[in-house]
Amino acid sequence: MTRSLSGLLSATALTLGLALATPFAAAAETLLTAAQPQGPVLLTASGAIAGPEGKQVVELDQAMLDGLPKVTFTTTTIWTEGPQEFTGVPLGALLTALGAKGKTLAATAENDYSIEIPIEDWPQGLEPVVAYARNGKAMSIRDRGPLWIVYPYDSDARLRTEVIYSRSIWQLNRIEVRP
Amino acid sequence: MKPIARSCAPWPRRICNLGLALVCGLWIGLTGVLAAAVVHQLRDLRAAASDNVQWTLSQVDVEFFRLRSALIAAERAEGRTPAALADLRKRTDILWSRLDTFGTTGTYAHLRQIPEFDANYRESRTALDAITAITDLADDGLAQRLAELDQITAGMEGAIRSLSLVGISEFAHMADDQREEMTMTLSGLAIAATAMLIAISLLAVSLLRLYRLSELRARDQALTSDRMQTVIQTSLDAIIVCDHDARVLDFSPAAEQIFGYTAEEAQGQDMLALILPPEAVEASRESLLRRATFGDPAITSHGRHQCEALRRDGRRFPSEIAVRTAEGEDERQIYILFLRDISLRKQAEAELTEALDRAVAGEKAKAEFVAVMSHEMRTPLNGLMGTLSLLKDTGLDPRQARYVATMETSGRLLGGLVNDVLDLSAFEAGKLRAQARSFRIDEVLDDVVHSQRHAAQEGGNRLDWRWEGPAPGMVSGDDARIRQVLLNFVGNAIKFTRDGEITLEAEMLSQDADGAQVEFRVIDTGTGIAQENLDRIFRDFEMLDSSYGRKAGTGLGLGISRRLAEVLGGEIGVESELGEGSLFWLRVPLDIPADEVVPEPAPQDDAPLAETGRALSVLIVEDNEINRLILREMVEAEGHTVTEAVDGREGVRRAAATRFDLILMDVSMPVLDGRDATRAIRNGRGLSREVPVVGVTAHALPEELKAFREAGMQEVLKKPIDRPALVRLLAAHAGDAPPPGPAAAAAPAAPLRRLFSDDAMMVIGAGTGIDRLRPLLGRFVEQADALMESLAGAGAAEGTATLQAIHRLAGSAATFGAERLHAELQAIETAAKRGDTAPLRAAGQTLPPLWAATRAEITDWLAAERPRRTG
Repeated sequence: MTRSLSGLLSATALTLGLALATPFAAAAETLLTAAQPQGPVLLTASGAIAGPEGKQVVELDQAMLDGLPKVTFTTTTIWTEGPQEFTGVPLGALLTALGAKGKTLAATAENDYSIEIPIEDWPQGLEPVVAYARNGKAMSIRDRGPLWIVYPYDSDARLRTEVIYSRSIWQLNRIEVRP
Repeated sequence: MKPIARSCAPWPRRICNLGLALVCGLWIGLTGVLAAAVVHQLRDLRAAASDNVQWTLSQVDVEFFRLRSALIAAERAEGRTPAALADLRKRTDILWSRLDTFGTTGTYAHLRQIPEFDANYRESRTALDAITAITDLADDGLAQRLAELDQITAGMEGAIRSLSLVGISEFAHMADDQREEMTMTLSGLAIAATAMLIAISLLAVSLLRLYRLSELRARDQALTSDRMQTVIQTSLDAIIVCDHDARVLDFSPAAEQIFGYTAEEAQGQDMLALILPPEAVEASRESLLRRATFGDPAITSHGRHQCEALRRDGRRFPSEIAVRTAEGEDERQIYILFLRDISLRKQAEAELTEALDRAVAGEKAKAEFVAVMSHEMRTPLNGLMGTLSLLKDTGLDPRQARYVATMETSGRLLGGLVNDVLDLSAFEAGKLRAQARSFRIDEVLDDVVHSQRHAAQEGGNRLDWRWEGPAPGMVSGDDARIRQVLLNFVGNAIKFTRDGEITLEAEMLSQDADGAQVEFRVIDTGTGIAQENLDRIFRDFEMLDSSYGRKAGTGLGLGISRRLAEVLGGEIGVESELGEGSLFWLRVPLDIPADEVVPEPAPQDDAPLAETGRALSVLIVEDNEINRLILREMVEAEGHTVTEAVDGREGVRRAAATRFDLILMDVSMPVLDGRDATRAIRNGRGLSREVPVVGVTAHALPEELKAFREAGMQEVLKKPIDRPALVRLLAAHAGDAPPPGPAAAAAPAAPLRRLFSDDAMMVIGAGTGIDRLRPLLGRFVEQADALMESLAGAGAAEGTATLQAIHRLAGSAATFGAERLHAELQAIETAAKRGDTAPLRAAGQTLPPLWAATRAEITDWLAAERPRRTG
C-alpha cells in the first residue's frame, strides 16, 4: 500500500508539478482537485468530503479512477456465470482520496437503487471494491456497469450474506458520505 | 458388594456395556447428523443464494415501466432531444441487465425450469433483443423508430408482468418449503435432543448409583483395611508380605521387633535371605515357598513349620512359620508369612522335660527305696518270727502263750505286707516275666488245697478241688504264678466264708495246636460282694470291710493277682451275689507240649534183690549228710561195707589209700566236685585208680552225662536213688549178674508227683528201721526250713551259696520222697545252670508254699506212723 501510495505521489508530482512537501492527504485532495473530469463522469461524490477548494461535490471520470490505487481479483457472483475477474479501486482508498469524514456511505445506482454502507476499517480480503472493469473490459450499463461495488465473495463466507449482496450495488453513479 | 451391576454376570456385563456404548454411539451419531443438517441449513439460510428476490423480480417490472415512460417522454419531446434518447438507451440497458440476471444459471436457474416462466422470459428476451437492436441505432434512426419501440414494449408488457408474478409465487413456495424442511429438521433435532437428554439423565442416575456404591465400597474397604492394619500392627506374630519373587512388601511392627530391621530397611529385600540363616535360605525357598504355592496344608494351615530364624544382630532363635499365598495387585502371587518366636516355648519345653525326667527319676528312686526297705525289713522280721517260734517251745504260761500268739499274728501280717509291697514293686519295675515250665495242673491244685486246708478247717469250711471236664496231661506255663493267684483266691474265700464250702475248679475251655485255655475257679458260699464293689476289688489297697474277724491284709492281694494274670497273658474276674457267695476266676493260656507223652508208670521190676556173690568194699563220696546216711544204709543193707568221704578231696585221698571195689561219687560237691575227683583218681597213682566210679547226680542233663563219662565215670546213678536200681548195680559189680541198663532209664518217671511219698521211707525203713529214719527226716525238715528262711531273708537269692543249698535240698527231697519239692528245686537248679536265673529269683515266692504243704504231709505221716508202730 505504501509503495503504491508513494508511486501515486511521484506520479502526481510529475503530472501536476505540485510541491513535494505537501502532506499525503493534501496530495490526494490535490490530485482530485487538480484533475477536472475530461471524459464522461462515472461517479459523483458528495457529502462529508473534503473536495478541492471546499467543493462538496466531486465528479470522477475513468482517468481519475485509474489514478487511484487499483486491485484485481477473481470471484464468482450470484448474478453471473463462472468466475469473473474484477478490477477497481478499493472503497477505502477511494474515500481516503475524497477526504471522506463520515460513518456511512450512501451509494445510489442509475436506477435510483440506493443503499447505505457503513464506513469501517475493512480487513484485508473483506474490503469492497469499486470495480470498473470485468474480465479486463470496461463494463457497459447492460453489463451492470460502469461502476459496480463488488466483494471477493469466494474468499469468505461472511461475504455471502443478503446484506452484502444488497450492498453489491451495480450501475453505481453517486455516492454521498454521511457523518 | 462385589458385582457392581448385580443383574449382569461377568460375560453378559460386557455385552451390556457394549450395547450401551452402541446405543450411545447411535444417539450421538444421529444427533450429530441432525445437528449437521441444521448447521447446513442454517448456513444455507445465512449464505443467501441471492439478494432480495422479490426486489429483483419487481425491479424488472419497474425498469420496464421506466423504459416505457422514457419512451413516451422521448416521443413527446420536441425534436426528440438527444438527452431523451440517451435516457431511453440507458433504460433499455438497465432493463437488459435486469432480464439478463434471470439468464444466469445461478439463483434463478430453477425458475427457468418452470415452463411458464421460461416462456415469458424468452418472449421478454426476444422483445428486448428487438428493442436493443433499435436503441443501438444512432439518434436519427432511433428517433424514427420510436413508434416501433412503443409497439414492441406494449406487446411485451404482459410477459414481463407475469414473469415477476410467477417468480414471486414460486419463491414464496420455495421459502415455504425451506421453512417446512427447517421445521422438520429442528423437530427431529429436538426429539433426538430430548431422547439424548433422557439417556443422559438415566446415565447420570446410574452414575450416581455407581458413585454411591463405590463410595460405600471404598468406606468398607477402608474399614477392612483399617482392621487389617490393626491386626497386623498388634499381632505378636511377625507378619511379612512379599511378592512372587519373595521381595518384602510389608513388614509388621512385630517383625521389626523380632528381627531388628525397620520396615523401610526390609522393603524390597529378599525375605528369606533377610530372616533365615544363610545355609537355610535356598532349601527354604524350595520347600517353604513351593509348598505354600501348592497349598501344602503342612505349611499353610494347622501345621506350622519349625525352623531356625536369624536376627539382624546375628542371633539365631527357634521359630514357627506358616506361609500362605494370595493374589497381589498385579494378579501375581504374593506370599504372606506368619512367624512366631518360640524361644520361650522351647525353653519352657526343655525345662518341663527336665522337670519330668527329674520327677520320673525321683519316683523310680522312691520305688527302689521302698523295694529295698521292704526287702531289708524281711530279714529281721524272719529273725523275730523264728525266735518267736522258739519261744513257744520254752514252756510258757497261758498268758505268755497268748501274747506270743498275738505277736505271731502281727508278725505274719507284717510279713505279708512286706511281701505284697515287694511284689508290687517288682511289677512296677516290670521285672516279672512268665516262666515256661512243664507241670501238672493237678499238682498245683493239690498244693493249694493242701496248704490251705488247715486254715479252711479253722473257719469250719470244706476245701476241695476237682476238674470240670477232661484234664490235660503235662502242660507248659508258669505254675508258680498260677499257684500264687489261686492261693490268693482261696485265702480270700476262707476269709469271707464261715462253715461253708470252698471249691477249686479247673476247666479246659479250649484246646488246639497252639495250646489250651484253662480256667480256674474258686467258688465259695461266703458273704459275697455287692455289685457296686465288684469293679474296685481288683484295685490296689482296696479292702471291703466285711471279712470275718481280724483278717485285715494290705488290700494288695487281688491287685497283685490281676497283675500276675496280665503277666501270664490271661484274665481275671469275679462274679458274686451278696449273701450267696463269690466266684473268682482266672483264665490263662497254657502250652501243651506236643512230644509230652504221658508215660504210664513203668512196671517196677519187683524181682527179689539178687543175692550178691561177695561183699563189696564201697566208697561213698557225698557232701550231703542225709544223702550220705541214706546211701550208706542202702548199701550196707545189701551186705556191703561202706567207707564215707564228705567231699571230693577226701574221696580222692581215701581212694588213693585203699583199694575199693566200687566208688559212688556225688557230682556236685564243694571243694572238689565229682568230676574233678574222678579225674584225679583216674590220673593218680592211688590204689583205686582203676576202680569203677558211679556218678550220683540229681540233674542228669544229656550233655552232662557225656561230660561225666569223659571224666572217667562208668555209670551214672540218678537221684533220688531208686533202690532196685542201686541193688542191681551193686549186684552187677559183686558178681555175675548182668550189668544194669543205662542209668537214666533207671530213673523213675512218676506220672503224678506227690507232695510226699512214703515209698522212699518204706525202702529206707526196710533197711534201717523207721526209728532210725525219724531223726534223718527231722534233719531234712530242718534243712528245708533253713533254706526257706534264707530264701525269704536273702535278697541275693541268685548267690551260689543259695544254689548249692537248693542243690543239697533237692537231693534230700528226692531221697525222702518229697517229689514235688524235688521237682521244683531241680527245675530251679537246671534253669540256673542253663543261665536262666529267673526261677531262682522267684524261689522266695514259689518254694515256701510248696514246702509248707510238703511239711504238713510229712508231719501228718510221722503222726500216723507212730500209732501204727506202737499199735
